[in-house]
This record gives sequence, structure tokens and C-alpha cells, in this order.
Amino acid sequence: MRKRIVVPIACCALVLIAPARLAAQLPGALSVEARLGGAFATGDFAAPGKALEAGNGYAASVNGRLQVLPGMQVYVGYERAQMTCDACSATPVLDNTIVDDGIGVGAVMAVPMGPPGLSPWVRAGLVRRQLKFSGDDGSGASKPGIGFDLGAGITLPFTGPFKVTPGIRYVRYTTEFDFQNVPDRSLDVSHFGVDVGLAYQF
Amino acid sequence: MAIKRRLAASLVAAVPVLAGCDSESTMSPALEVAIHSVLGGLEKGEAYVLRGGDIGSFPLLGGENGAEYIVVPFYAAREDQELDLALRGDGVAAPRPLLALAEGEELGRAGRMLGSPDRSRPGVGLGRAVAASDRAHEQLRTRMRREAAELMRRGVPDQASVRRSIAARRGNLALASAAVGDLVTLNVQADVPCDDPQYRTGKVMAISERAIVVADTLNPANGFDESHYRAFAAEFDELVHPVLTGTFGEPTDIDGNGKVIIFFTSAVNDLTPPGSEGVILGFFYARDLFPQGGVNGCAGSNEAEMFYMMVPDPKRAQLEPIFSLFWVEELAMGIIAHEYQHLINSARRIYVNDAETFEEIWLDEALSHVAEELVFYAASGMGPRRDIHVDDLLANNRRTDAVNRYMVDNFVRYGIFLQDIEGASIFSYDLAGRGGSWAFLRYVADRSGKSDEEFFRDLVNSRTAGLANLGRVSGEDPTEMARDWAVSIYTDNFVSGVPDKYKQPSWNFRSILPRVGIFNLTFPLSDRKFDGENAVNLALRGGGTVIVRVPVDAASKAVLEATTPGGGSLPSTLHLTVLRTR
Repeated sequence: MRKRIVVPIACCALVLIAPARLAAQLPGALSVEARLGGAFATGDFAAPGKALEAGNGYAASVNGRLQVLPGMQVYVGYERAQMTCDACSATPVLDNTIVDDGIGVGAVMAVPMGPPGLSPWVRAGLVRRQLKFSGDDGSGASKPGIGFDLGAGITLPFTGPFKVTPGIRYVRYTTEFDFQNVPDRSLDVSHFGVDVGLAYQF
Repeated sequence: MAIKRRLAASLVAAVPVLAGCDSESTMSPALEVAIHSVLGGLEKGEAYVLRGGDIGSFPLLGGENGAEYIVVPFYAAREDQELDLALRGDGVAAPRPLLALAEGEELGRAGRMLGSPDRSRPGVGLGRAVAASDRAHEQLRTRMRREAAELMRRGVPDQASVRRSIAARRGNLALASAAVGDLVTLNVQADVPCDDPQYRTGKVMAISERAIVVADTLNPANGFDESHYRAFAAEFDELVHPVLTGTFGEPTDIDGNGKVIIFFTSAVNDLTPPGSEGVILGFFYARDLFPQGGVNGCAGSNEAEMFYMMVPDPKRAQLEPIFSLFWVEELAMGIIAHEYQHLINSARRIYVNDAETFEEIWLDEALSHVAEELVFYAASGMGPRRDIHVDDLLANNRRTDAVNRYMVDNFVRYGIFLQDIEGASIFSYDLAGRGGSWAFLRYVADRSGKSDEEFFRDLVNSRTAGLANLGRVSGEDPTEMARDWAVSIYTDNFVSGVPDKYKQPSWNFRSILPRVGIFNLTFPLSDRKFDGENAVNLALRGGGTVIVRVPVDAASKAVLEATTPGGGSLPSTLHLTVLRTR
């Protein structure tokens, strides 16, 4: 209980205090990006008869990037995907969609190739995400699990400080369910995505 | 520019903060079951543990090769309460035959049976006679406890003053002055404790260090002789007394003789009218622990640590074999162990533990059946928590004789509990209930992790009673233990891969019960199944349970729903465990 109170307070304090100090100390160019696209479940996560029989849906994310080296940015962001769940729809109490969300941190590397004006990139990072269910009897979530995130795409100039960043990505992590009344379970979550980002560089 | 950088920094800091506050996972049980089912459902040996209004509907998966589940409700209420519930099932497959033994198991050495004078003849044994006797015993104990409890409520002086007052008035059996051949007068009135005494004259037949064996002068001819009584006294000293006092504690000694009086009297036989269904084998009456005199005296008290035993009646045995010399001798030491626990328990509550109430009858009876079990262990050289198989019991004559003398009655009662499981209650002290409550108490003792001595001594030396007492000693919620024990009835030695709480560590009942004469090579569990219907209606007593088998075909799913017959929510006192067995 104490942790539940202390952590949000610390979080709020960090949001209020950090920017001034952070802004003063940032070494390179900053940018923010919002992405939106499709998400497609893969592996056991999607396989018929295995578990959730997850299907397609959307993925959205917002992240901040900081250039740390020429051609290299580090990022941190919030990511969310929502997909269908065929197995859920067969139960009397679950909604037929599931949400997979959490944070990701990693690096984006520019690939020195391609036609002028286009900047290919690859990204790799760690994710800390959890799977969420909802239904007639409320909502529930798995424990956050750690996994990885791989992606690639290109950066296209748009207008002024804005750039468009289409790409593809693959996310995979293992999450655990700590139940009170039924045996615990773990699940491999994986999905593939095609999305488009809009970045703003300060 | 500075503003933009500051804004950007805010975003960078806020994103992980907002995202990192994880959702708390406080799911309802119904939601947990639903999520669990879409994650693949139960593996063999796993269980859902639900309660009351949380139960609702739940899916059960058939998997690749088909599956079978048991649904085990347990109603945690007083035994005089009843609950009707409806279990509706959609997609339940056709039932398979109920197997007695796990795959690969066999019934053991063919032809040898427990509980029969002719061990090779199945179906003949003392089981049925003992079974019938318990019904009458139940009625007697109920009445006696009610009346003795009233004496206890009035209050009693301390043991020393009671002993002084007894010593001042009496001389025959008090203060170790008795001798073999002495005649003594004892009240055998069993209907009322203090009034209308019915005196019998008894002759002291044997005296040992711990027992005075007295025989009623009105006993039928051709019954026990002096050698029998000497043997009972010797066995009491060598086996029953050390085992029981070592576990439960010493009885009191209000009569100052350091001994227990075992009164073999036809007055016990007389409590069973000819042709009765039940037979009274013996009894202990707590009124004998209260002083005759004083403001709250009980004039009918014998003022002694004593109990009463049936005697052989060869003439009556021609029609009722239970009265034969063979059967009464075979049963006697088990009954003595049983009644001695009642004596120790009551005496310590009155004079040692300063309790305000006697133990509840169902638990007192279960403890007396445990007393029989403890004597069996000592006599056979075996012990608890060894998952004893019938082959272990038949391995030599010492063990087999010990089973037949001390233990087989417990098997008989437990088997009858299984036969009538839906109508039984472990909080009752009828025949089936006592079989169940003994097995439950053994399970709780094994689960506690304490030694038998520590566990049962704590239980007997208590000021609380019933479930509160059991919870205090075990450190767990007794109704949750009963819920788990109800599952173990089916799973123990039958379903592999189950958690320890679904095992019964001391006995392999699946192997033993088929070899008890009256069960005639069957495991006597009656289950419920859907049988082509889409609902099973169940009627449970408080402390009652039932096993419902639910098969599900491969690649199929069954959806079950448990409600009241009218579709309403079940009370929180209804526990429901769903376990995959195959």
C-alpha cells in the first residue's frame, strides 16, 4: 500500500521538476514522435487453439528522442497495441479485444544509404509491457514483462521541423499472470506492425 | 528556443512516468477464470478455487486429447443447514465409467480381506454390525453431552477438593484400596445423569497399574472369564494408556486411585433392545466426573474416571452375532481406546483446561476415532503419513490383526461416508459423518506439519471447541482445509500431479477400501455426473460435499454455471473447486 502511494507522488514530482534540469543538460537535438499503424499478432499469441488466438488491430506510440551521437538517437516512449482476441469472444465475460501496452527504450541508428533526402533507419530496444483484459466483471492485467522491439523504416522530410517516418516493427516479450484463485500462467506475446510516424525536431 | 527544449524535456520525462504506472491486477475470480481459460485452461492436476457469488460460469477445455474435470462443492455451514444448487453444463461429454484405482494399479493380493473372521470371504465381516451400532451410539452421545454440558455450566470445584470429598465418603474403588474379588456398586443409568440411579453390583475382576476391570454380576453366563479381563487390563496398561496419554495427556484422578474403571456390564447390552438396527457397544458418561455432593452436585455420579462396555451374550448372539464372545472380544480394545479419549478429553476440559464447554460432538467423536487409529499404529508398528497400502496391512499377521481389532471400523465408516457422500456432513456425528470427520481430522493433522503428539495434544487441551479449535491448532481456516480435503477424496492415489493439499498422506484408501469386507472389491465412492442432461441438481448439508465428474471431448469446450436452482447467486459459504483429472 505504501508503495502504491509513494510511487505516483514520486512520478508527479519528477514530471514537474525534471524538465528544467533536464533541458539544461541535454547534449544534442531533441525530437518527439507519434506513430500509428496496424498490429498483427504472430506466433503462439495468434495460433488457433493455443491461447488467445489474437488477431489484428492497431498500434500507437509516442516517444521522445535524443541525439547522442551523429546518426544515433536514444528513445523512450509509451506504446500501445489493441488487437482482437478470438478466444476471448468465446467466453461469456470477456471483451473480444485485448490491450498490450507499456514503455520502450532503445536506440535508433541512421543507415547511411539511400537516395538523397531519404534517411533509412533501424531501431532496437527493450520493452516493458503488459497485457490487459476487460469484461463484464471489470478489468485485469498481467505482470509487466520484459522483451525486445526491433524496427526499420525511413525518414522523409515533411514540412519545417516535421518529418514522416514510416516503418515496420516486431515486438516480443513474455508476461506472467499472477492469479489469486486459479493457477498462474505465462504467455509469449508477439506481434508485427506497420506504422507511420510523425516526428517534430526541436 | 529554451521553451521548446523545456517542452521537449517535459515530454521525455513524462512519457515513461505515465506509462510506467502499471495497472494493478485486482481481478474478480470470474474474470480470472475467464482469462485463464483463454490462456489454455487447466492442466492435469490444476484447479480453480472459487467461492459463493464469485462462481458464475466458467469454461472447461477439452484440449487435444479430451479432458475430464471434477467439480467439488463444499458447503461451509452448520450441519443442520441445507443448500440446493444447480450445476448447468453446456458441451459436457458422455460420462466414462468411474474407476476404483489409478491406471496400472491392481486390487492387491486376491482373496484376502480385512474385517472378517474368515479373511478369505468377502462381504462377511464386522463392518455392517459396527456400522449399525454407531447410529445408536450417536443418539446416546447427543443426549449425554447435552446433559453433561448443563452440569458444566453450573460450575465445578477444583479437582483437589472433589478428590477430598470423594475420599471422605467412599472406600470401595477410591484411593487404590480395591482388590480383586471386591464387590462395588455403580450407577448404570444412561438416560438421565443425576436422578433415578440404577445401581448394579460389579465384581472387581482384574487390577493393573492403570485399570480396574469390573464385571457386572448380572452379566450373561458363558461370556468373558477372568483371563479375558486380565488380558484387557494388561493391554490397557501396555498399549492403550501409554499411546493415548502420550498423545492427549493424562486423565484426571478425582477418585484418587490412579486408575480407570472399565465396567463390563449387561446394562450396556440392555440399551439395545432385541431387533434394533443399532447396537450400543460402550459409552462414557461425563456425569461420573462431577461430585455427588455440593450445591451443584450430581447425585447419580459414580465419581470416578470410568466408562462402560458391552459384554458377550451367547444366547442373544444366536440371532444377533454381534453379541457373540468372538465379536465382543474383537471389538473391545478398540471401544476402550475410543471411550478413553472421551474420558481424557472431558476430564481435562473440566478440571485441567478450565474450559467452559465440552468439545463439539463431531470433533470429539473424530478424536476418539483417531484414538483407535493411534492404537493401531502402535500395535502394528506402523505410523501416520506413510500412505499405507492394503498390501502393507496384509504383509504379516501382526498388522492384519491390528487392523481388524482397532482400525477396520474407521475404514467401514469412511467407506459408508463415500457411499452417501452427498447426504453426509463431516460436522455431523451420524455414521457417515463420523467416517468423514475422522478422515478429515487425519488430513488436517497431516497437513499441519506437526507431529501427531503435538497436534492432537493441542486439540484436546483447549478451551475452544469445534472449528474454532481446529483453526487455532492448525493455523489455517478449517473450512478451506475441508474444501481441499473434499477434493483429495477423489484425487488421492488416483490423479497424478496434484498439489500436496489434494493428497491424503497417511492412507491409500483406493487400495484399502475395496478390501474391506462389506465393500466387496469396490471403491465405494458415489459420484454425480451429467448423464446426458444439461443440469445436475445437488442438495448439500452444511459440512457436506459431492464429486461431480465433467468430461469434455477433444477440441471442445464445456461451459458450466453454478447457481441456486432459481438462477441466483450462491452464498459465500459455498466453496467450489474445479480440478482437471485427465
